Amino acid sequence: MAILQDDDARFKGLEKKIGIFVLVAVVGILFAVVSIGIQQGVFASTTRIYFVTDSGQDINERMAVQLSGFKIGHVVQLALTETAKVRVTLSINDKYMQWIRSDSKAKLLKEGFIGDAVIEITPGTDKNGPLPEESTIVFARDPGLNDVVGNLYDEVVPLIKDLKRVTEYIASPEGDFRQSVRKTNDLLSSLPETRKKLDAVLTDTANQLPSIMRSGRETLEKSKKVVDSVSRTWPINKNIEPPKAEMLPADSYDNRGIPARQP
Amino acid sequence: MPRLRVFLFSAAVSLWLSSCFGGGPDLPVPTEQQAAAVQWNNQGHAAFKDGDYAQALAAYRKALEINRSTEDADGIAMELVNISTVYDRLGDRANSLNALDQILVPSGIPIPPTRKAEAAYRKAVYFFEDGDAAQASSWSAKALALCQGASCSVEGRIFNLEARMELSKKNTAASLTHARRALAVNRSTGDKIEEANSLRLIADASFQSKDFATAQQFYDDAFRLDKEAGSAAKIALDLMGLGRSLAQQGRRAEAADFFRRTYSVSEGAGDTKAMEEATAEIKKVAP
Repeated sequence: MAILQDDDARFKGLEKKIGIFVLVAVVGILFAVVSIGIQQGVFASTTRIYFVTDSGQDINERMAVQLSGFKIGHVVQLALTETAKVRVTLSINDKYMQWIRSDSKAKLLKEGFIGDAVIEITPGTDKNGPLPEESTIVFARDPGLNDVVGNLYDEVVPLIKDLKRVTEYIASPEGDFRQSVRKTNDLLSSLPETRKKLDAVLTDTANQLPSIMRSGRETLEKSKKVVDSVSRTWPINKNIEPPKAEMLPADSYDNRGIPARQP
Repeated sequence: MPRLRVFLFSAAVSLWLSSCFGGGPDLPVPTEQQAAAVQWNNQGHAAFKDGDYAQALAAYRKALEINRSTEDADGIAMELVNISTVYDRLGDRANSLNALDQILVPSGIPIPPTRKAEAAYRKAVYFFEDGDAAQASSWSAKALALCQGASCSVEGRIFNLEARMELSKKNTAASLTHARRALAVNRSTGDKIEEANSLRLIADASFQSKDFATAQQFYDDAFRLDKEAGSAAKIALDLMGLGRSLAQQGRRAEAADFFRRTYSVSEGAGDTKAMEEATAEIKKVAP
């Protein structure tokens, strides 16, 4: 017994309708998958190149490969070599291969200081053109946070040790520094007394200075007279040339220095 | 022993007597004003030597004021010549000539003719430097006329200037005549610097008349005197003249040596123009 009557108008052509719906859904799903694939570069043709590094630390499959900040491919495979090194295979979109030459270099760096790691490839300048499939490029690893901190530690620790040593030296009661400070304090405390004595000496000298100067001038004048009279006495006056006024010379060949000239 | 005492006593008495009555005449004692003028004059020279022309001018003016106050005609003329020279160094030709005119224009003060001759000679030099050959010649002739009959220290320089003027006009024969007269006068007065100038002028004139052997000989004579005087610029001129004279005689290797010496002397004196000229001459005689 039929639960629903077959002659109900709502069920007429139901199978056909369901079939069209399923078909449209499948086509839509396929279209979405293809679109996403195109967007993700699944269907783009790529070239595989690789580099070898001592360690695969921080390098993962699917990791982005960039050139001048643009994503140009990704890491497809990490494999250990016979010498226990890591061979990292990169898949590079063909349209970006034009900038990757034999002198290009790959390096591992962080996006920001603590962001995701990426492989950055530098553009090459080699005139032989883009690298062929399965070529090798040079790899270098940028110093990470640990390396930077380690280097800073090595630099700062000796400085701190030196600073500690200097502080201990200054603080030592028997050290030169403390003794110098003590002596300077003693000297400064005796300064007012010294100044008083100096003031007294200066006052005394200032009172006597005019008479000293006067007598000095008199002595000088008397000495000058004696020297003048002696210098005019024969035979001494024969050997003393008296100062006389002179005229500035004027050279007949040239008045102000001789320029070299053609005769 | 007694003989020694007698000898010492006699010597002391002789010395005392000679200091009282004997010996030459005492030096004339300059007045306070004269001494001050001389002091300002010497200060002016010191400033001039240091290139401080403003200070030199001030000092010479002070000396001139003092000389005017005592009507010391010789001193007045001397300081005016000094002031003229300072203005010349300052590039002020008008004031330079004005100072000399104060000596030459009669003003009631009896300026000695030798000082007037000096002033006229300096005017001639300034006009010659400025390219005014007619005025230079006129003032040179006036200077010579003022020298007539006076013991004139400027006479040799005037003849040298005449020789230079004739040489600049390419009058080689007249230039040689004046230079030879200058040489005779400068030798008689013992003025070695002007004697070297006369010799160099004879060499220049001989070179101009293509008598290169004579030119070489006179450049060499001038060089010896200039070397004694230590004048780098003139030594360089003499060496350059020697080099050019030898080059004209075809003795290029010897000429090159003299040009190299010229370069060295000019380099020591910091005369870049002369260095360039020497370099050009070295290139000319290079094999």
